Amino acid sequence: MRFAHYWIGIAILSVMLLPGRGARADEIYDPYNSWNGYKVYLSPARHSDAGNRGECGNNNENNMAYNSSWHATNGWHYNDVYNDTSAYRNLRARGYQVRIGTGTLQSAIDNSNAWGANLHIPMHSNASGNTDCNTTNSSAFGTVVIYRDGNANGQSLANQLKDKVGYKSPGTNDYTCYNPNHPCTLIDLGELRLINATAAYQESEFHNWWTGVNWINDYSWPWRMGWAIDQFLGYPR
Amino acid sequence: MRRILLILVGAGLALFAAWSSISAEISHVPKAADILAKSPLAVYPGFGHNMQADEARFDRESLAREQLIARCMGQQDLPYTAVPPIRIDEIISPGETPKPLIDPNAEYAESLEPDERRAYYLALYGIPDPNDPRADRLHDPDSPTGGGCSGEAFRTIRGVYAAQSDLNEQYIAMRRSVMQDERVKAAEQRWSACMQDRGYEYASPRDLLAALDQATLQEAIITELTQQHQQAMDVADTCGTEVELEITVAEVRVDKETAFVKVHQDRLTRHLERLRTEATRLEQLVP
Repeated sequence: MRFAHYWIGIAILSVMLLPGRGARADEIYDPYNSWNGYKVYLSPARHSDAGNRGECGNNNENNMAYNSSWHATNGWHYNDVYNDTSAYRNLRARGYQVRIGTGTLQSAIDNSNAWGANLHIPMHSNASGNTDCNTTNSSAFGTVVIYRDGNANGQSLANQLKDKVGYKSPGTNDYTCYNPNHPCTLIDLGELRLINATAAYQESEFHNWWTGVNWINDYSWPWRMGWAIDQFLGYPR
Repeated sequence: MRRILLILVGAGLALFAAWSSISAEISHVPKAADILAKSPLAVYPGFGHNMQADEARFDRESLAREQLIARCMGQQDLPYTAVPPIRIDEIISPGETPKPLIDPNAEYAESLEPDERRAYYLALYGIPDPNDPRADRLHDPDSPTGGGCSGEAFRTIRGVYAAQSDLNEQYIAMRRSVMQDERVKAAEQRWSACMQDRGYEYASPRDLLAALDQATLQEAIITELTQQHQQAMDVADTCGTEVELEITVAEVRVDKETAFVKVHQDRLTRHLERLRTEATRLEQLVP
């Protein structure tokens, strides 16, 4: 009885520290083998109206963005097919330390800077005026990656992500754009302006057409983010 | 018999002397890690030279910040669950799926009425909505004031990676410049020639590392190609050792890091001083 509070404390701590159970904070994933010296912060969308942002079916942009981030970090695909032994299958296998933000957008900014992230990638999916999820007009959709105006490294990272992810996304209108003041978004994005890391804001595909939603939820593509990052940093090992 | 014994002892001594001289020579061969350890940047925590120690300190800092936030919120009679980041080092088995997000503090805030939620977030972050994507609606972490309990905690413990974070762009540029150095390029040419002698055509180790990724553009990743690539990776290690590529890269990196320290000396000195001050605070919060 005398030590009961210790056991209660240990039990609470254990529940807190088990991934996927109880209270959770940001997740830090270590590389499988040697660390290549670089840290990547993946910051999934946390819209308060997720699920009502034009997503087809019962999909939710926040969950889709988290799942894509998780698979870029831990996934088992390479060259868009299942390959759970490839040394190129995810960011950890490529030697990166990865942190996935699970708090608020403000906490993502604070934590990314305090953690010393080298790269910061907000993960989102896009929406347009289209209200017909069954449309097959692929030229109206695609991968869009936004970078801070004047930041050459951010632009270079954005180009790599657009090239590698956009190559496989079903929409064909892939492009990068600067922020602020480019019509691709009217918002001066906090996750580009207030971040110390080299940042690129990825809209992986549009979530208001089924072809795009099905592709986002397929998880055969997030390994491509590792490819883009390796290309940007010169394959550090 | 005595003569044979003397010959054996003599031969043994000669062998021992020869072995000693060889082992002495081996121990004098520099290793890349030994060279990097002598970099002046290694003195400053947070720049990747001692990941284990840096991460251990970072974990304590994260916990301390969370405790500071919880204490500050408690002083305003507001609940806050301290949740430092979770560290995952195991390889996750195929088939496991990510679990849905649960942030206890966000969950609590979302359960409140709009006015209460606004008040909660103002206390926690100094802003009414921490998920507003607009830069001017968020707290700027570089601001000397504001940011609520969270902003105060991050200012109190800026942490082991603060200097690296502030100098991130310059740091990445410095790391990338190592591969552009003429000495590294020359070593890569020797490596490339060594690889060619063994039947592999790659201009640099980066080209080799990128080869499989590039092959996906032709969607040509087949078992045979993967095996060939693995064989080339094995030969690459042998050639790397033969032409001392890793050592050259380490030497150049130390040169670049020396210049980096010189340029940013004031910033780095302040970083070190601040870490000493913060260590006292950390000891009080997370003994």
